[in-house]
Amino acid sequence: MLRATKLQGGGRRAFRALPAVELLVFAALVAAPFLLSERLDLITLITNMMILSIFAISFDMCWGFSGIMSFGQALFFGVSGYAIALVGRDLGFSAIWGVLPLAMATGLLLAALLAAFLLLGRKVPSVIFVAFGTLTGSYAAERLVSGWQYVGAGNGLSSIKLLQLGSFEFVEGFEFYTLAFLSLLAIYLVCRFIVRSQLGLVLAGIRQNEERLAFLGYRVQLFKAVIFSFAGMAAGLSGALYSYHQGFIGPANMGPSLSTTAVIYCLLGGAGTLIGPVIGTVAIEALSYGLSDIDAIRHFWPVILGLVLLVIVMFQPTGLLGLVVSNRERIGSYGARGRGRARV
Amino acid sequence: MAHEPILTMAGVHARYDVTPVLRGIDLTVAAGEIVAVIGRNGVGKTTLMRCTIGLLPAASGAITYAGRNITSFSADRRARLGIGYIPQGRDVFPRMTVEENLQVGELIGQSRKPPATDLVFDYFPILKERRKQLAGTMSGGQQQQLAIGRALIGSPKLLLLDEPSEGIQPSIVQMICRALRSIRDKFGTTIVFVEQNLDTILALAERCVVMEKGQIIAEIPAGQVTQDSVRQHLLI
Repeated sequence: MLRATKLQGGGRRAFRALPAVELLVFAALVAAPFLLSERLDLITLITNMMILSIFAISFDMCWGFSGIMSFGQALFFGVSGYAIALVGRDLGFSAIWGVLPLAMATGLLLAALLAAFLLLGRKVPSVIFVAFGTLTGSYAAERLVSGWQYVGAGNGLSSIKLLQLGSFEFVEGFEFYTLAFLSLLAIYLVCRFIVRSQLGLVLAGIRQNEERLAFLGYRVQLFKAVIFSFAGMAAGLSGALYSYHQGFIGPANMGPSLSTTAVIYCLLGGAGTLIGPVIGTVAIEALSYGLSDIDAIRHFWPVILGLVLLVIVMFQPTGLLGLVVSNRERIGSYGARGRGRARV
Repeated sequence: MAHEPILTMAGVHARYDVTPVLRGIDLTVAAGEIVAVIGRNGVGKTTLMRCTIGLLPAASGAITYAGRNITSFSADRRARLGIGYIPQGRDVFPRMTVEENLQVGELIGQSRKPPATDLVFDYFPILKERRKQLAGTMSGGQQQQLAIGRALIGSPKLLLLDEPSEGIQPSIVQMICRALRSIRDKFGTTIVFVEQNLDTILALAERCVVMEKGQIIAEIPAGQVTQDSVRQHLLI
């Protein structure tokens, strides 16, 4: 087993596994369309994985990095997906420079509103309160659109106008793959910057003990609200990409089922790291794709998937990433000094 | 040494759910003073600290800090005004290094004050040696030094310490007491601490207030803090 450790006090530094895993995953994503150029089904599958990875990272920013149990992350995913679908249908507009920022703004504003209600009240909210609050939001939105004819009710919205850049259209295949990859890379790098900054240090403090941060002068709930809103923005982006890629958005895409899937992606891959949710998403989607294709187990593959997840969560709580990355490295280091500019 | 009052508590009551713990605290601390809050277990000393920093709201009464009524202020707002708090059991972040623990003491957006970190290392050199070590792996005494250092990064005007000697070997306690006195002398930092250890009280306190059943029932004035006077109240 490859387990990295960091030696104290300078001197020889041991191999660090996390950057290697990150590099490996992104290198594989770059290579995939060239290696699988004949397999459009696999290109489509990996594109979907990357879009859902953005969604999983958005949940991880809440739970893994900030201790906010958002059981309703699909709300932002779904509402943004509906927003761009409606703009395409009613206004005939799908230019990338307009619709992706619109989707992100929708997720951001919706999450900010929910954060104001759930996190910024007079009393410090419990984890359970936030979990149920977000879950209720997700469930209520799903029920609402299920009965609303204007947005397609239970059938959702299909035949979504293709995403455009000038006269160029992002169709399924290499074009959309590139867009999904660049979006994932951008979100990943922004999140990586955040969690390694002084803000990341504060988030690490929040995870360890919120009360301690309060008596150091930090407005803990405000920091949480900022991260929650940012995560809503990322989920909004993934929801929009998903809608364009699938050509469809439905009530289930904003409900508790998809919200729970984000939790599972994270737990399987390794919450509290950024590459963990990507690995978790890839693993689950690959397993689902593989198992659902085998006739003998077609009808009960979700049960097998559930058992695999149960075993991993019980016996490997740090997720798949914990198999190769040490706890110290997973926890990470932060701020200016954390990046090796110590001045002591 | 006594100047204008920096902290005044007038008729402060506090309770956990329906159980009253503080029953009308009246306390005035002058700027630059070092005051010990003493008394047996369960008389409300820790609650007094938590109420002062704002982790437990006062049910009634008024708390004034540096001329401002802070009774309704949240803990983070009080901390930003210059009240530092070191709780019982140190409460460092165990999965952060010493350096990161100190860094988290610097508020985001606040201008960085490198001398503050250097100052901490001057007072507590062991922290400089162990700056890359995870705080959770250090001894109790080292963690206490780190907790004090982290509070000092914010340049507090009032420092609240809850049982700073708990579980720490006597020589380290004496070193910490000397450091705290020196900080007070150099920067005028007011110190209020809860303590039951006689040696620590004698080494640090200029004045003592005695708590019993959620009230301050007696005071040992400056100049009269002696082994006999303190022991008499600790044994009540």
